[in-house]
Amino acid sequence: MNPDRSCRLGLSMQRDRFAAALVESDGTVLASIERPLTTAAASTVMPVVVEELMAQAGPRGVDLAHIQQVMIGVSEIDGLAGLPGASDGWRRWPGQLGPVAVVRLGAATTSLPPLAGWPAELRSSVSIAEACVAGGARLDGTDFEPLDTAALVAFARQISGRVNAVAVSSVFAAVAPGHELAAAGLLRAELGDSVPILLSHEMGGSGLLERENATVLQAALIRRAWGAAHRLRRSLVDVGLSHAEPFLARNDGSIMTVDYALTRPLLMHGAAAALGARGAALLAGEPEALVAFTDVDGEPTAVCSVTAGSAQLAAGPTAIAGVQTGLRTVALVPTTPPIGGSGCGLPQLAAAVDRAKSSPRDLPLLVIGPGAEKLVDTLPGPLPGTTLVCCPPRADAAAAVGVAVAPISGEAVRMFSANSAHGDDIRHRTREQARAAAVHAGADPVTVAVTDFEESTVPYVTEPTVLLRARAEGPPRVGWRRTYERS
Amino acid sequence: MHLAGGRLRDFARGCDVLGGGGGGQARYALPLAVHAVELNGPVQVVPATELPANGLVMPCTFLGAPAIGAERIGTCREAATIRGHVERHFGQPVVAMLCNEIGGFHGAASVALAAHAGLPMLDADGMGRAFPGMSRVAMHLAGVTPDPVVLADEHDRVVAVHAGDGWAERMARSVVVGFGDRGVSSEYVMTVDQVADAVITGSVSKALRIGELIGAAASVPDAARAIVAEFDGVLIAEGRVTAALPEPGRHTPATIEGTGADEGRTLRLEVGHEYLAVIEDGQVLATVPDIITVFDTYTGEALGAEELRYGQRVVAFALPCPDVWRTPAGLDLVGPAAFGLDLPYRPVVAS
Repeated sequence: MNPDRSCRLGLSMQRDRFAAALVESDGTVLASIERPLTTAAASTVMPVVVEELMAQAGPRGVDLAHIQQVMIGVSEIDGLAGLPGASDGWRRWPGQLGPVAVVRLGAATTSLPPLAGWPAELRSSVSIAEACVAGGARLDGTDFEPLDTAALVAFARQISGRVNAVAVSSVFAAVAPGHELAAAGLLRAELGDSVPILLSHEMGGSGLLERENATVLQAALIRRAWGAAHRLRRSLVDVGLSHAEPFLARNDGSIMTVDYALTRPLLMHGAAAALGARGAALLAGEPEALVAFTDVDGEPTAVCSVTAGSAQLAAGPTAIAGVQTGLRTVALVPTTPPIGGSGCGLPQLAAAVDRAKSSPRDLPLLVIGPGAEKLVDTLPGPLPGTTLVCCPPRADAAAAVGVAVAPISGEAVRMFSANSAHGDDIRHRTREQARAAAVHAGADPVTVAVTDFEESTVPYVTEPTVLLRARAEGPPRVGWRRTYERS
Repeated sequence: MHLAGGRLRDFARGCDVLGGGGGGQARYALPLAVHAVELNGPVQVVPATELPANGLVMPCTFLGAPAIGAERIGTCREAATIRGHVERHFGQPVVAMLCNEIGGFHGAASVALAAHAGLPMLDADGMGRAFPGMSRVAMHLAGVTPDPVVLADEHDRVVAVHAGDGWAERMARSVVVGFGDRGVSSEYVMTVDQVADAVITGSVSKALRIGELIGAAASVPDAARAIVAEFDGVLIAEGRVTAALPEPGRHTPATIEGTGADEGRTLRLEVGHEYLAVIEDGQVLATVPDIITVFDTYTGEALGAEELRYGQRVVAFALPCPDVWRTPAGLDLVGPAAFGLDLPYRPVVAS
């Protein structure tokens, strides 16, 4: 046994199937499986995964002790988290949904009050109280309204002892989060340290309503997520992986530590598609490509495009449990159009391929998922708009490979006046914030680096305003020390 | 007639069609309208003939940058504040609200403003479609003065601009800048007896009817055919977008290549804030001020000019604009040349 050897175990779960892979630190895939799922829960899948992967990898000298990290991705969070109206098929996280209280800092924002337009059933099961109190910022960073601390304290006393979490959002929180932070302090003083207070600027995203909705959903899920994290860690102990640090995959195809995910469970939504795309690009050695997903019968279900090895994200918001959230997920083009669509086959695949592209340039089409080989075998000839159609090695488990090799990411968004004398300082700080966010999510602090830095101007605004978006990425931290052992 | 419930959704769909790619998306204003109606009850839609002749009609609309409006969502009570000031200034009651711009976001948003102001909506609007700029309205052509322009922000700060034609828009815009690029304004306040020749009549019921036709159609191309048949328009083509470079506020051409029965055709779409012209083999098929609409056959949505992307499957059609825009004075204001196009205006004529 080579004690220095280090492997990662990747697991990707869809509603009714899962894929798992064991990947060496140099990127070599040692073993992979793809199977139907009787119960969509990590605790029931993990023993099967470990047994079958080790059966393949054991002869290559791999020991359980070599697995230092376990990365897990899911296709959608709403079913798993037990949000009403979601599709069945997941073993839902038990426990209470909410109850939460919702605070919006910005009194003059009542054209749509908090939770207006939410499905009635979800709203009543999540929230016990909502309030718009004076606060928030303007684009130039000055107060939108002075923070009404008295109203906040009164609201806190009204909800004290009745909520599991509080969601706080405020106008232009991305420009100036000061009021959210001050409100958190006031609420904590009244409610005590045991009630988590979630702040919208930590969720990111522009658009008050979408950011607020995401914050409220996260707050509602916190109790269930704690239970799920506990069961996940326990299931690792049960299969002999107590020494391995678990990570969870997120919407953009990167990963985060379980602790980080606890207050941001919504970020897990849509991870499987992003990981499938990442895995496909890696396995095929094609960083610029299109990826087609298949079902077990060999039918194509959706297509997305990959640039620089990562799936392209949709520009718009993501609806979760009937609520628009600021979360950005993979720009998936289903082969069945949302309206008037019927059947799925080659013409639908060709149309989806064309729609998933951002330019007329022909690209390779990488087919993955349980029916990948079947689909490629039944193709009568070349597909319009593609340079080639291929099924990369281990295509059925591409998402599991994708999660096993995924980096940890962090993002920072900042708006400021183009006339500011401190522009360069703000740019520097935004990059540092992105790096800090990645480290917070579990990246190795030594190697994390800014990988993307976008600078644009906010359209139609009179005062020239710069929008900065920095993204940092790095490999997951090492040196996790077991802190949880079954006694 | 009134607007509430499912009719609001139909109305918003119709507004998106009449936007001709401009004016933002009515679907984003729909939640505002739904909430306002839940709170204040259905909004009545009335013809001018049912209103007292000396009552005031108050146009009302949002102004400012979309990025600001996404954070500062306002109260929609700004409309009630403005109503109070208009009534005090003129010494007469406001009896109806007029939608400035039926096309796109502002069409659906005006329902929310009317509901919060406690006013019915006149079955009319100022444009019959969407245009950038405050003075591209029928009221301007009819010689109605925009003064006073009354502007309010969400904190009930109110400014009345008495600047005279030509200066009203400039001054109003600088007030909105003072508000932080978001506000609500009213201009071209009229008496009911002034309205008949100064507005586009029937716009609200037209948008509603278009939305109903979309809801009843079996497919997206069928919806386009039904709208074209009922409103004397022309179906341009079904196809796929093969080139598009949307940039906010920039003139960029897009290309649509025909599919199905239109296989082999290539259309050039001139795109600005809205769809400006469709050209095929050097022939102009339609230009502003006629309304050019592009449906995404995959999602069923009317695509905003900034939403056009490579690979979309679309059906394009054109509807005639209101007659007032086809007069020489109308074409001076909103003809192809007013949008920087060196093209003749060739009116859309139903075949």
